[in-house]
Amino acid sequence: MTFKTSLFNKALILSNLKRYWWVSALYTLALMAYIPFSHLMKAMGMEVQNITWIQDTIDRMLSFSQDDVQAILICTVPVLMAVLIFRYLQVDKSAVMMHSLPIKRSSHYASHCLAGFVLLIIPALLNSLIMILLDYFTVLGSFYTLPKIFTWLGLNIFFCLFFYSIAVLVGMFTGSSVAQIVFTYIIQILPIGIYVLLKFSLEQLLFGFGEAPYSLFIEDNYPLFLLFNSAFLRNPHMVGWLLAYILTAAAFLILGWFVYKHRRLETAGDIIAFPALYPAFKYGMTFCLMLVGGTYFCGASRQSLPMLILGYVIASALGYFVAEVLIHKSFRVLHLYKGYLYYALVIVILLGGLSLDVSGFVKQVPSPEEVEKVYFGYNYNDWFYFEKEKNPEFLESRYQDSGYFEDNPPILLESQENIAGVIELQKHLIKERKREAGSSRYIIYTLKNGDYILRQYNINEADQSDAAFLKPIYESLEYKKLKFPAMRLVPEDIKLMSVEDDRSGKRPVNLTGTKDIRELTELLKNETIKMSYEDMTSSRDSYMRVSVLENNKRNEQNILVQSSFTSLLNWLKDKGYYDQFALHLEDIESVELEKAEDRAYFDNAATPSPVTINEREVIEELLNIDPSTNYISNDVIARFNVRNHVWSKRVSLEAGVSAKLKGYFAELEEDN
Amino acid sequence: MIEAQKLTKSFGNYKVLEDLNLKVKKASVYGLLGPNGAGKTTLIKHLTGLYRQDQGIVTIDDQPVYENSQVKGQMIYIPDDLYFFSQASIEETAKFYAKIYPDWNWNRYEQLKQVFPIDSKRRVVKLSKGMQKQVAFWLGISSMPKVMILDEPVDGLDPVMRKKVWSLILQDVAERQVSVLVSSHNLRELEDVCDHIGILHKGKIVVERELDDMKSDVHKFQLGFAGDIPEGFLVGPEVLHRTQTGSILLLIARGDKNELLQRMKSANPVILDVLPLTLEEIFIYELGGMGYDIQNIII
Ligand SMILES: Nc1ncnc2c1ncn2[C@@H]1O[C@H](COP(=O)(O)OP(=O)(O)OP(=O)(O)O)[C@@H](O)[C@H]1O
Ligand SMILES: [Mg+2]
Repeated sequence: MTFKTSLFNKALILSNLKRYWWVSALYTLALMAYIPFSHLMKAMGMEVQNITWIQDTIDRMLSFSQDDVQAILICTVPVLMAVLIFRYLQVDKSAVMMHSLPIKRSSHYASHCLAGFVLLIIPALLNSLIMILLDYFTVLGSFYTLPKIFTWLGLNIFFCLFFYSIAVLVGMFTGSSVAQIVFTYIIQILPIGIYVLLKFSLEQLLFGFGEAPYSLFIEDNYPLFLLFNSAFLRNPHMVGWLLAYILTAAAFLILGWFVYKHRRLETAGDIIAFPALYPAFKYGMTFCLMLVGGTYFCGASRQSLPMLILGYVIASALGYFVAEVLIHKSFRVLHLYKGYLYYALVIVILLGGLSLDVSGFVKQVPSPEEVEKVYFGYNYNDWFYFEKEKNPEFLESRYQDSGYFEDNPPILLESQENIAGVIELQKHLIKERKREAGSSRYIIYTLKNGDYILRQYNINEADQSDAAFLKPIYESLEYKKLKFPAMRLVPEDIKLMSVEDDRSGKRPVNLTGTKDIRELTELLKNETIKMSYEDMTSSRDSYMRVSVLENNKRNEQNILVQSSFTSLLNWLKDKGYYDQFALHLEDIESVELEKAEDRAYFDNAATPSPVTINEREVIEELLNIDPSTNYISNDVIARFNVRNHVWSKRVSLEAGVSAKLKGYFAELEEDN
Repeated sequence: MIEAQKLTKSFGNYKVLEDLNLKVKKASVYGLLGPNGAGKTTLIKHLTGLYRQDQGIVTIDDQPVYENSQVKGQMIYIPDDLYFFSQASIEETAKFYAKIYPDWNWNRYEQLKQVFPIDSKRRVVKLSKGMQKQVAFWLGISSMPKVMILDEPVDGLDPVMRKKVWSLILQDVAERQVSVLVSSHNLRELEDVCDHIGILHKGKIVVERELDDMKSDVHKFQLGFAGDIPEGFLVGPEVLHRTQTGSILLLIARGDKNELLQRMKSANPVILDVLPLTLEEIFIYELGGMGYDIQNIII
């Protein structure tokens, strides 16, 4: 017997092909209906104007980008195939029969694997063949090209192989087909799940704990995510990358072979085929469920710590005993409580250590001399790729925005004052330990010795005590330069500036003259420098804005004009531009009031008739009133009718208003 | 031929086989007897190379069985729980076996159509349980094995078919020197076909006997005396069992029949009969002293 014939058993391969050809056939038909034939239909029914649209759709399908139907097929069919092909191993009867045949385990494994793989690639090959024929003989010739077809074939086989190899490997470790399916998907989302859940728990337990909200690494490297976000298309090293994955898939298959050789036949039907892995499965499940339970209970109860602990206890006990039930295939598992107690002991010690802050994590604040710079912003990934990885291009390519960092420089503060300011702010936050209001923001120090200290806090700009610490930072030139695009404008680079007012319904005024542009940029800068903390954090809507189009940029920059920008507004008035675009009181014909909740609950048709106001002074009052930011209270929507245009704003019923306006509000109440 | 030495196997903490020794000679039929759950199937799965033993050696023709396709090619195993591919007909299954077993014999297969009256175009899984068993024998015998390992083989076969199957197997044993190991929990079933019997109990073979020896070795006598039974009449270790009702004595004794008869005659009994002894009784009396509740095993 030669090596080849003994490794691949022809009879086994043929019998597999005979038994499971129908999966292949169905998959072929599904692909055929979804790809070549639907393309043919589209192409035959095309009209001139949607040629580019058809081309675009076809290209996207053939390159697997944003194509959920194909993605779902790819992540289910190979798994199903692996389950069917290795089904014999998971059922006692068939495992016994197959292994009593004079065939070695290596040969069993290799033959079954190969048969499944052949069944998986035949549909892709057939469909490629059909596409090639269509390419030559039908209108699709103008949409298909051979490279595109072969790319599709390659990617299809590649993904099939990958999912197949994972499912096969998982199948070797378990003795049940259901478990094989479940584990195949679980291990793919497990890393990201654990990441998110662990982060949530640590955030609750360690004040100030911060990490990336999700992991780009997992998202860009895990097959299931890859398939759905098609990140590989953006990968600059695609060939090397594909090769690495093919090698990984091969490694999985080889590992599967090794596991198969050591697998015991009597484990058919067990959830885990290797008793040595029971503890890993048991405690893994306990831990994961603990995290899920904690997150669920704590999230549902608005981040209360006792609920987190309660969630931990309930869910971990559940996880532990369910795992035991699955392992022992019996419900009589309560006597195994000891293992759970050990687990609980370890967790209590860990949690105790965390909440007592044994490592000093919560209180750790660097001294200003140690710090080189500090990131004080909202976006972890910005910091990570810009500052830590020093690879901003990666993020830009991922965002498909090559000027991303130029337009949004990360807020990395380097001046002595600001570093000291942030440190003081952090000390204040640690002392106060508020969690509730505000928005979550990162404070990430780059230390002179090369280390990083990463924290994340909820900071409330409206809170008086927080504001006292924020004010010096916000008002510093360094912060403003990073924060406001107006500070970075260079008049020479500007092609066009335009000023507009959303409320007025008037067309924007375009400024192209170099003098105007120079003066306006200068004014914008000065106004920004003058902006106070209160202006910067005010909740007042800004309706006026300057749009700037720069020479070598695709996108416009929008700069809001605040009401505090008096000299800028005066300049616009002096030049006569203001009247052309801005809203004037006289422009408003009437205002209609309506309760905000009505809009939420009824269709427009069913809305009760609004209260209409025509009195000038009341309209003026409404125009200048601060909009409501509190979306819970029963607000009023004020709809301003401006010639051929309508805009509206939310006003709080509780706002300090004149008697007249109060009267209108009362009318609104009565109506309902 | 088939041999297990110091075979030990546990499932988890549960020890099923412990230091088990077993030997099946070439061209003989070995009956493996044991109650439900004794470990017969487990032992058989070691002999067929399906399970890996915790300790000990399992060989066929001095070759280890586990992962040995050479040995397995010469052996067929008919499990108590049969499995066939769900779509395949008998014919297709036969083709599959033909490709896998090196000594497959199509002539034999065709000849056996006479014995097994089932249309070979029918799907195997759609057949009745007994018919499936027939198919298993049909295919098994057609692959011309040197070793046959049968787990409760005639379970579900009708009496006529049982006879036919056994005669086929015994024919192979005689003509082709096939070694057979067959398990059952019913002694009567094995009585007619086996030449060796082993009893599996608590993970060990507690008794192993050659049947011919046994039958010629143990005898049952009925004696009647005119007066009292003479003092000291036949009370040696050769007596396995003795019951006395009035002046009638029932004896089961081991030894040469004629010699025993001579000794009894010398005491001048009024009646002296040699009664037939079933295998069942032999086992019961032989093992009676061993401290096992062996009756339960055998009946
Ligand atoms: N895969 C397994 N996992 C755990 N225990 C098993 C397994 N297979 C068998 N056992 C146990 O081993 C013991 C022996 O089982 P086995 O099937 O060998 O008995 P048997 O003698 O064939 O019984 P029967 O006459 O009912 O066929 C039983 O107690 C059984 O529960
Ligand atoms: Mg059994």
